[in-house]
Amino acid sequence: MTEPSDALLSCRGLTRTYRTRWWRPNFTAVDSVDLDVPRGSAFALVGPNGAGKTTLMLMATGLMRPSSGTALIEGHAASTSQARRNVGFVPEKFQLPAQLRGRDFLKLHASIAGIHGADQVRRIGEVAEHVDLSDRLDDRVGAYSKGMQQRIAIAQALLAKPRVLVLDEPTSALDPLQRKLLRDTLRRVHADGGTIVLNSHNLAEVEDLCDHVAILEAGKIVASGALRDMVERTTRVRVRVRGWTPDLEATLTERVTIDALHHDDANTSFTASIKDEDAAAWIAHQVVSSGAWLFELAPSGEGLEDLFVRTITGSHATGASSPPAAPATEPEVGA
Amino acid sequence: MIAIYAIARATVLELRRQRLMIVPFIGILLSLVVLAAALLLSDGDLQLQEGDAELAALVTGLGAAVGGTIYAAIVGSGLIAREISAGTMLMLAARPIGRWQIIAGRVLGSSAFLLGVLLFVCASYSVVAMATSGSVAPWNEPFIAFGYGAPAMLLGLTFGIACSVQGKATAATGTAIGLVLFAWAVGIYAEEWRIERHSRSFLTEEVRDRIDSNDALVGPAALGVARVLPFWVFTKGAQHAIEQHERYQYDDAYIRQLDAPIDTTRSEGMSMGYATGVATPLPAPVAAAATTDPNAGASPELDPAVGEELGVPIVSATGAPAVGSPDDAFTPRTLPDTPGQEAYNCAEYGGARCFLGYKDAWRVRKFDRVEPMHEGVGLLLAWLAIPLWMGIAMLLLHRRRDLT
Repeated sequence: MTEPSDALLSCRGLTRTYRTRWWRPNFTAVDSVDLDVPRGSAFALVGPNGAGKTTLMLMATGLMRPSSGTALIEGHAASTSQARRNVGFVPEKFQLPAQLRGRDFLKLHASIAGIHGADQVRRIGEVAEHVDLSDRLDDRVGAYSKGMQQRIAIAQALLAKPRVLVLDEPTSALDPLQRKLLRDTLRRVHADGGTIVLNSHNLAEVEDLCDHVAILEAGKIVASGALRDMVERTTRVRVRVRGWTPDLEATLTERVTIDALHHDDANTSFTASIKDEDAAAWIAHQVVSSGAWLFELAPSGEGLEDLFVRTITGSHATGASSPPAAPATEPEVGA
Repeated sequence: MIAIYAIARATVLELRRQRLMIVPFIGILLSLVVLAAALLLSDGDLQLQEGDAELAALVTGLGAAVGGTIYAAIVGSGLIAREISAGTMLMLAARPIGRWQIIAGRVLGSSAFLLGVLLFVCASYSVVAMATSGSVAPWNEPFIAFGYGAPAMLLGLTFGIACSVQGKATAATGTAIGLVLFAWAVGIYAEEWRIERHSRSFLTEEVRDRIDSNDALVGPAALGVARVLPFWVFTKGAQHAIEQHERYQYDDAYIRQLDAPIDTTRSEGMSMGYATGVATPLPAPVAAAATTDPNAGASPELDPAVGEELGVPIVSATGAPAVGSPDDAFTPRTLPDTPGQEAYNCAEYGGARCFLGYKDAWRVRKFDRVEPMHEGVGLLLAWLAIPLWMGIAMLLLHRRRDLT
């Protein structure tokens, strides 16, 4: 658990309730959420659609008034100007004013952030360089692609060197190349000591970028913590070969534990628990040496998606908000 | 302040490239077409005829005062609502500025833009008016219209922005336009009632009773509303623009020199100018009470004692042209009993002022002293209402729980 003093962004009892028709009960989008985002972390909020991720994010950054609860950024209430000095925000859906040039858009936000004169010119150049838009700043935003608009939105968020960069679904609607460019940008920000908070449905990206995660379900946090502590630590590989022989099986079982051995017409597939990468290379060597053909050798450990599904389905089954227990770690079999 | 200026600057940059910019140019083009048509019909002497002048005045006066106000309301209603629905309001609100600064910046920028457009339209019309009238006299009229049009447009703008904070852009636009039209209607009624009230002293008791019975409560209420919320300016702008345009057609010096009696034979009140808020002639009830027989005797509405007081004979011209004929209203007619002497029919033109003998009595009558004061008060209220509505918009945005 993150100590409050280590938390850059801290929420206590955040709740948001919407009034519906008078004859219907009120709808609670976020229900008494406590959340601490560690300083210098890359923090992800994940959850199914309608879980309340965006609502929580907006309340945590002071852009939405909660029905109850508090949100602090660097010890200041999130709704105050002092807190917002430390925040850079990129919403999920936005349509930038098409008539403005990219440079004018950044000038607007730089001026509002208190950056003027030569500092403004220099800083705009820096953030444009950071998001790889230096050569397109004098074009109208209406001519930008979706990826470029996303990058210039991130650029405006980076202008004031915020302590925390908050992004709502930053890679939705981007093509794979644009997603990679964006991930590279965020990695640079994180490497420079910045704190990132993002929510995303793309769990592979979250797993790649982030070191902390909170899983939200029906307005409540059902699991949160450091990613490496939450995801099963055992490494497994998935193997598919052609030309499986009993001798090969006997050789492999000397070093690794073979699970789920499956034979079809021509191929044999199995998963194996291994200690390290050397064991994976050893498996490949043994298969090839025996004269068999190796078609596939790939990691098959529990990732964030497995954790997500396990957590959500577990919370649906039990109706509990406490995180379900992680599966027992498979014993590592060494050489 | 720098943040407000930055938002204002961005607003101007956005607005100047929007498609809405084409509207004032269409307005100018329309005015040019009307004036050009009038010129073609003017027998080449570069003087607009009465009907042409009225139509031109209608187009430009209404265009500047009412059309411009509606245009401003449309611009304002899109400013905040579209920003909220586009998600860019979240980016702005995430900055260390107050929400009131966002409104202030938007108002400042859009005001500067709209006033620039209005000035351009007025200046363009001035050039064309000078060219077509052949005289220097009209050059200042568009700028007087600017003086009335500016607070009207800025009021429409702030109406639009206040509506824009709470709703979607489409709903905000509809509400803002509705507010402007409502304000215009209230302003017309209030202005009508006010002139009736001032002109009643010149009317017979019978007609006064008729007016009182019709407008015992509604008139004062409308005037009260028009004073509190300066809807008055919406009619005054149109009114003044049209009056000024008409007036240049009837050279003041010519009228003064004429020293003509007041012919009250015709008291038809429902001219096009009345319908559009021009300083009214006799109010409708009086007009209805007026004779439909143009050959009748002296009009029963005007108290002969008034004429004696003014030293102006009140006569009735027999054989006057029928209503609606080309020679009605504005054309001097020869009185049958006084060969060579002409009379102006004041019923159509100038309303209560004309009853006062136009120029001479205008100077000495209370109406002369009161009218400029009313106009001044109305304008002052309009300018004061602009920050009031801006404050309403700021409060609404401040109270809004979320900006999505």
